[in-house]
Parts: sequence; structure tokens; C-alpha cells
Amino acid sequence: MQHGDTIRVASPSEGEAAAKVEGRYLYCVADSGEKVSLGPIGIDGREVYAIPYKDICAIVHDCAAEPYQSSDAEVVKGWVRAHQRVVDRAWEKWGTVLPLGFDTIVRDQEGSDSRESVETWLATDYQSLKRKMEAVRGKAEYGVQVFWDARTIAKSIAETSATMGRLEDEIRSKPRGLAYIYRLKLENALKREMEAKADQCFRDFYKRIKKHVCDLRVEKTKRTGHDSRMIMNLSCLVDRDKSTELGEELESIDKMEGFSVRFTGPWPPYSFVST
Amino acid sequence: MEPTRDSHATLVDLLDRILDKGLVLYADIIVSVAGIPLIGVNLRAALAGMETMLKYGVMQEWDERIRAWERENKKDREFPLASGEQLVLKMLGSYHYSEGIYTSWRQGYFYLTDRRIALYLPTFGEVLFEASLRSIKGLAIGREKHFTATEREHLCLLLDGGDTAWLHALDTRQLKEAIEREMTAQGLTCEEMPALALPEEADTCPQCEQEAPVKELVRDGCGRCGWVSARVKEEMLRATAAR
Repeated sequence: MQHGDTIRVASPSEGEAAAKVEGRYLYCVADSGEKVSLGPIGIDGREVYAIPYKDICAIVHDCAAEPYQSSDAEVVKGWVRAHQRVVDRAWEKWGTVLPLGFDTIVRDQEGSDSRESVETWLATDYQSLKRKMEAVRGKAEYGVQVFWDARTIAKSIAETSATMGRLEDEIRSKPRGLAYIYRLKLENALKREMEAKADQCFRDFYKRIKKHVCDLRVEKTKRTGHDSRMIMNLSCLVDRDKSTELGEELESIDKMEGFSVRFTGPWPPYSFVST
Repeated sequence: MEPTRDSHATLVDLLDRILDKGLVLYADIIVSVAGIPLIGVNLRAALAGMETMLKYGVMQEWDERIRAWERENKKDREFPLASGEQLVLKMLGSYHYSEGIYTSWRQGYFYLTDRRIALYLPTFGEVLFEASLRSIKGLAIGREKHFTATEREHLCLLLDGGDTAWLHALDTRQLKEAIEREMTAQGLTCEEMPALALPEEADTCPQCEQEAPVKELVRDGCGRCGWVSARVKEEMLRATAAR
């Protein structure tokens, strides 16, 4: 199917404004010089097609030169999923993609169509795009998040730590007022030991995970609330055929008492294309 | 352990990637809203903490509203110049306000015109201090210890009738020079006089009504009749008991 270069019928709900093409919404850069269409699978059912340059192409749809914005969370979720669907489709089809973040729109310049701008960008950045593509070829991104149950960990520290045990004995022999001060001391000691333990776990897990991945990024941990605490958040670039090994390693962490692991993916290599 | 990509359970993971990451185009041909992916805002609101919300501009609308209100309602009032009066200099500053035992440095803008020097508060349209150039008999620069533990300069004005005013400005010396220039231009003369120290706040002794500086009264009591404050009395009692 040949994509329509100039004339395209806007869906009725979008009205007249939508018929005016002023920009190209970018989904990803793919490893193919084919001039093809992927069909109406884009955001709001837009026709998605490739703008090729040499042996690579940008996957785009035609749009107005303004960002997608909505106050309706459901609408936004739909757009984000559509974005992901298109990147996934290109990924399946050509094996290697460099995904773009949501809402990247190239707009028409004076005297130059945004299509030309996209081509110029592909031409100018060709070398660096190719290099990035080589770096992620045959690989996928996985999310690894390690949590611990603060209660279980605290309990095991309290049972095994010598300092904690000593403090606890001392509390019993103290009058009430002093015992209170000692309890505060105990809590602080516990907090410190837990931090140290989290640190040590991080280093241990990091070493174990690193063996199975090509590259990784340490992400910010997130607040999870209650007793479950995220102590590690990684984005890992993994050879497609090695994800099982990583899965096994993670399983052994997941089985440790008080620990749990979230393993998500495979994602297009979002975290490994920006630099 | 198998990785999951179930679209409900991993929406947050997807958003982390799609909204924050991916290939970046550093070009001015990109449509953007001040670099903020506004699109994810509402979704973020539901899923993320405050920090991320601010980062993605969730509070933007609220902030805009507050600012709009501010713009609408807090219009500064113009300094009321008399007809034919010429503004010479406007400068941020303060003057030493004193009323009984209450003293403070009140802040505003100095407006020096060809007729007067005034400290004006644009927000409330209030003139805090005013003196006509004709009434200025002398000027001096003095130094005082400021509560910020630094020393700063103030301008001391000797006015008609023996009143004194202490002013401080962003550039006190510049203010002084501007006043002098303006006075000279109008054929007014003023003396360079020795700097006067800031007045110590005075009050009267509650027992014998002798006038004395407040600090002294509170700390040492009245030198004439021997009155001391309740607090000092208590301290003295305690000291005696301890002995």
C-alpha cells in the first residue's frame, strides 16, 4: 500500500482543522529503507508510514503542529498505548528500532515541509543513528525493580545484630524514663543498620544482575508506601536470547526472605538511545 | 522468572519510558511546550508523587490562576505627583519609624521629586514618610549596627523645627547626592552636619515617670526611684534564695 503524500481524509470527528497537515509525529527510527505504510494504527487511528533515508526510516503520522494534550487521563492513556503499539509493530517488523518519547512533533518551517525536515534530520544524524542502532541490535530493554518488606528485614536485623541485642538488654534494666531514651537510640540504630543493609544488597544484586546484561541504567527508586520499599530500580539492556538467564538470577533474589522482584519487558530500548 | 508486559500492571513502567526517555531531537523544528511533556500530566497526577507532578506541571494551572489573580488585584498604585511635580529618582529603601516604645524600619520606595522626598508603598498606595526639600536643613551619613550583624549606612536628615529622620536606601550615598543636587538646583542650601546616632527609644518609669531609654529601664530599672521590672525582681529573688 502506497501512502498518500498530500491528500488524506481526516476522520469525521476531527473536523476541518485536522485536515491541515503542518507536522509529523515521530514514533521511532527503524532499521529499514522501505517506503511503506503500517496502516491506520497511530494515535487517534492516524495512518502511520515510513519516511526513508538510505537504509533507515522514521515512522511517522501526519498531524497538526501542536502537541497532543488532554485533561482526560483515559484519553492520554489511549494515546500512550497507541504510541507504544506503533513502536512495537515497527520493532516486530524490522527487529531494531530507536524509540522516541511521546509527543515529539516536527513542524513545517517556512518554505519547507516537515517531511523534508525529517529527512534532513535523518541525513544529518545518520552516523549517530546508525551507531545507536548497532548498540541495541538484537537486544531489548527490561525493567528490574527489587523491593523489600521493611518489617521482615527489620526483624531479621534485630535478631542477628549484636549492637541491637545489647541495646535491647540494656532497656530492660533501665527505669522507664531512661528506657524511652534507649528505645529512641534503638530505633536510630535500626534505621542505620537498615540503610547499610539496603546499600549492601544493592551492591550485591547489582553485581549479580550485571553479569547477564549488556548495559544498565540505575533509575530513581520510587516510593511504594507501607512496608514494601523499593531498594533498586534498573533498566537493563539484554541480549534477546539471554533474558532467561537474567530471569533465573532474579528468581533467586525473589526467593530470598523479605525480598521481591518486579521484572517487566521486553520494552523497546527507550533508556539506551538518548546518548 | 518471566518478564511481564501486561498492559494494566505495567502502565507505570511504560509511562516512565515513554514520557521521560527515548531518542531526543535537539532541534528547533520540534513542537514543544517549554520542554514539558504536558500530555502526561493527568496520568502522572494519578500515578506519581508530588515531585513528579510539579516536574510535569500539574500545578501549572493553579499557579497560573494565582498569578492571574495577583496581576488583576495587586495593581501597584502610581505615586501621586502633584501637577507639575517632576520625579527625579526612585529607589528601594526604608526609614526609621518610631512611636513610643515601638520602632521599626519601614520599607518602600523613595521618590525624590523636585519638591520633596517621600517613602511610598506602591502596593497599598500609602505614603510612609514625606519631607519637602525646603524643610531639609542638614544631611549626614551615619553608620549603625544592623540586626543582620552587619554595619550599614543611613542618611540622617535634619528637618525644619528640629525633627530628625533616618533613612536607608539601596544606595544611601546616591540618594544623599541626588537630594543635594536637587536642592542646589533650586537654590536651597543645606549644611553638611555631623551624623547623629539613631535615637534610643525612650519611655517613662512607671513609678516616678522619669524619662529613660527603654533598654536601660528594662535591664537596670529606674536610676531615680529604684523601680525594677517584675522579671528583674524575680531574678533577684532567685539569686538571693540560691545563696
